[in-house]
Amino acid sequence: MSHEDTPEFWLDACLRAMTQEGVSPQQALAKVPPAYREEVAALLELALWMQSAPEVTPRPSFRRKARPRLLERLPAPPVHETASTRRLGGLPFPRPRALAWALALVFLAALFTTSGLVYAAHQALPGDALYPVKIRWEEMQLAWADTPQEKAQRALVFLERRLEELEVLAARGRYQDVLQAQAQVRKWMETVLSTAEHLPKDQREAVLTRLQQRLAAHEQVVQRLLESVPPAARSGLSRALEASQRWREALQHALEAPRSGEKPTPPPEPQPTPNPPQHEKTTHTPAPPKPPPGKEEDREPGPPVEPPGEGPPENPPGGGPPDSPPGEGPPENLPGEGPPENLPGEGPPDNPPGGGPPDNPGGDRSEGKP
Amino acid sequence: MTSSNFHRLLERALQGDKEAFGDFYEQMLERVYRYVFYRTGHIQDAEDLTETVFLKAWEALHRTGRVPDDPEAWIYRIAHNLVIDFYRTRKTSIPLDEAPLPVQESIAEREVLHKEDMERLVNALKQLPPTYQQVLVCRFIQGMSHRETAKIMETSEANVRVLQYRALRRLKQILNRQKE
Repeated sequence: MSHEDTPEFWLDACLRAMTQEGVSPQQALAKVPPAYREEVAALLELALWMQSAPEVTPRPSFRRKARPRLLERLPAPPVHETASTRRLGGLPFPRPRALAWALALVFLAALFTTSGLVYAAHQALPGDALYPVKIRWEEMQLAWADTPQEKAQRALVFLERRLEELEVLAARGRYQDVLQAQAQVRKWMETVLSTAEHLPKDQREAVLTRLQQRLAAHEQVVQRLLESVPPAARSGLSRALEASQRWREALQHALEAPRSGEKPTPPPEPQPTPNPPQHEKTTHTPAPPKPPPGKEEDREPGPPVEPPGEGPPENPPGGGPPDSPPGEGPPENLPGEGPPENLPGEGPPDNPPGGGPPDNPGGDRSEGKP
Repeated sequence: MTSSNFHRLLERALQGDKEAFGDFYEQMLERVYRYVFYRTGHIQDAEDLTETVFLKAWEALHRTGRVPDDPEAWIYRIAHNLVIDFYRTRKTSIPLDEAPLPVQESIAEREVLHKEDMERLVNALKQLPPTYQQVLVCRFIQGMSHRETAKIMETSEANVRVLQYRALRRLKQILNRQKE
């Protein structure tokens, strides 16, 4: 049945003929097939009856007051989101929605009371009371990772935080806590390597390469810090520097090995020294870590660093620039502070190879936020 | 008032100009009122709903941050949704004969429905599904084209033709039952 063989069509044809061509209902109906004529005529009559409905208009009293009353009831236009409101944390929603958001936030705040603790712990450094909370939270995040790639990425982010913590501690003069920070660096380095083992070869190599770059940047920062710390505090930082260098060499070795799936051998654990510096509160100080076999004689000293106050520091390839000269407070933006956003195959990392400041100055410290 | 004029008024309203929105309100007031009245059959409800339509429109304008492509169709859609909400929350309605019908004084000279007929029509319309009410009011009370109706109903013109036929048939059945 074509659509012309339907009463819908003929009803509409009649209506159109009457409104557009000005024909009478009888003339319009004359064209309708007899089978539909009666039904279409009844519906046409009904349609015409409706069309002749009176022009309903608002009461004059309503009309008179309508505009001023509406304008009075209109809420103030909501503030749309702008850069300034984003900075100020303004809610870019109209009132009803803002209220809903506020209620949701209150609910979430109540729900995640413990998350406040986690958030506070996020800034904690080794030696702080909340530091174990921070570490525990990160371990949970690692455990919750769905894929090996995600796990490796998170482990890398957390390791970078450990390196950063060590740098911040040294910059703040908390040399006594550097040892604990160094232990955390070692622990997370091993975590990164073990998680990277589960990655495809190309992704694993990318992780190791990025790790190398980050370690190189870390060494640059530690080198600079070494120039400014008191002599008694240098041993801890020197050990951290040497450990980093050995890790980096081990990574290089693993990358150059014929079977690059080989896990890098971790450097030996630092040993306590019999005579710790007087100002350090720790009761033992690890001895300088032993270099990997065959590397003891070959090690080059770190790149020369300009003393503070003698001009801007150099940023050699592979290292990130230190953020503030020693003695001027903690570095605000340490190289590599921002986590690597992408694993291999997922896009470029934030920090280009060769070091340099991350795209995200100040770092994304919200990684552990709920 | 053309659609582009409506656009200009709403653009200004979007910037917070309440007077521009007031102008838009005045231009659309009668049409929206008539639409709502034939869906509710009650003056006070029609007045309240008409005002609410524009309050909702103001909120939607600022929530979305953009002027709709077709302001008229947009307003009718808001009105349609409000009428549905109205019936959902208020099952009872005051009979028509409790309030004078807001018929223009000059209509006595034209062929018009009497008050009794209007009551019958509104009561019958209210028994139809909302989509049928919408298509009949748009097409035969408001005198809109297929295209305008299709925009408001967010459907095709072909579907409007089918809907108007089915709605008229159902309305006829209801009116016949009322006669009996």
